[in-house]
Amino acid sequence: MRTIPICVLLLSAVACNRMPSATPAELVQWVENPKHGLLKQKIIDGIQYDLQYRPLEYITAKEADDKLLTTAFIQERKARLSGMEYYHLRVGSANGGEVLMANCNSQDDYHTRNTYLMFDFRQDIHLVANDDTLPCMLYHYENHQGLAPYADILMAFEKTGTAADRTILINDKVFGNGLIKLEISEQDIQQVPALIVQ
Amino acid sequence: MQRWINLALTVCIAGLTAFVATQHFNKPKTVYVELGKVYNDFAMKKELQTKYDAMAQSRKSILDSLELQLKLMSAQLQDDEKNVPAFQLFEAKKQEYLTKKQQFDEDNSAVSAQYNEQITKQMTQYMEEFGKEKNYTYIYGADGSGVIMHADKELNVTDQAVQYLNQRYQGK
Repeated sequence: MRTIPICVLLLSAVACNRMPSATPAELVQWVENPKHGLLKQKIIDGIQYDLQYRPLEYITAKEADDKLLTTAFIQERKARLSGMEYYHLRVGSANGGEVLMANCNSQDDYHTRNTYLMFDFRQDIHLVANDDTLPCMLYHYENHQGLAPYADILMAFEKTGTAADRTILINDKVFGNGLIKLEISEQDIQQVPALIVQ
Repeated sequence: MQRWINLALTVCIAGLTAFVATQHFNKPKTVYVELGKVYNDFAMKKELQTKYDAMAQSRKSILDSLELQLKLMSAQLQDDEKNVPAFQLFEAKKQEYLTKKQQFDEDNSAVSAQYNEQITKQMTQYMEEFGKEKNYTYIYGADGSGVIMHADKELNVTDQAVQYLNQRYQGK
């Protein structure tokens, strides 16, 4: 008789697909696995958009370099990073070429795109949650100078008050693909495993 | 002897079953969608249509206002034909109206073409993903042009396609 609740618990744990706790390396792998819903991808007209939601545990784990962390360190980092939600957007060429040169006619066009990504693109990115549309508060464009077939953008938005699914809206003026929407569900965010500490 | 006959029969039946099953599962899966309905019910198209209509309406209001001013000035000029400054002002206003109208018409066409291109790009991509996910070999687009003269209604997957396209567009 006592085994029934245990079985139910085990089954629900399996059904939720939740890892209760993980080492920094395991957590990074877990978050970066598209199956867990925190990495969303779209390919439109040969341009690939990868949006990675970066929970605080993930950012901390990335800094850990596969070493176990102390509770004090985790708390200190969380306190420093709290109040914002962090995302990583990678815009790449689906066929592997230099993304900024995709459908590009001249070197001038290339520089225009580069400048736009550096300074103006942040105004075309918003987070929508619960009918609130939030602007991008922190924005950092990593220019790979043609050494990688993608462009990386790190961004952060003010944390929304209530739990809700988030949609990142990207108005793509560079590649002419229009409005790109990528949704991260609250349910998937809740599944992020806790970090194992020393 | 009977044993051999039974064995041969069993092998034949098994072979035939395998052949029929292979034929069934390897059969190309062909479906069709009503292109007009897919395009009109695509959430991105609806959003951009609303945006375009709002922009076109605000521009039309500007032109209507200029046109009204021109009509009033024209009526005043008919009463006072020798008023040269008023006539010059009327000509300047008329020029402003014509320039603005041309500018708005050109810009409206450019925006419309840009939106159509964006819609087509995303629609094409999601349709391809829909076909792959459902393992369809072909998806035909019935657009009333006569390319498809007849198709079984059971092969019509328009509603499923629209649902899939809208979910993908919303980023799910």
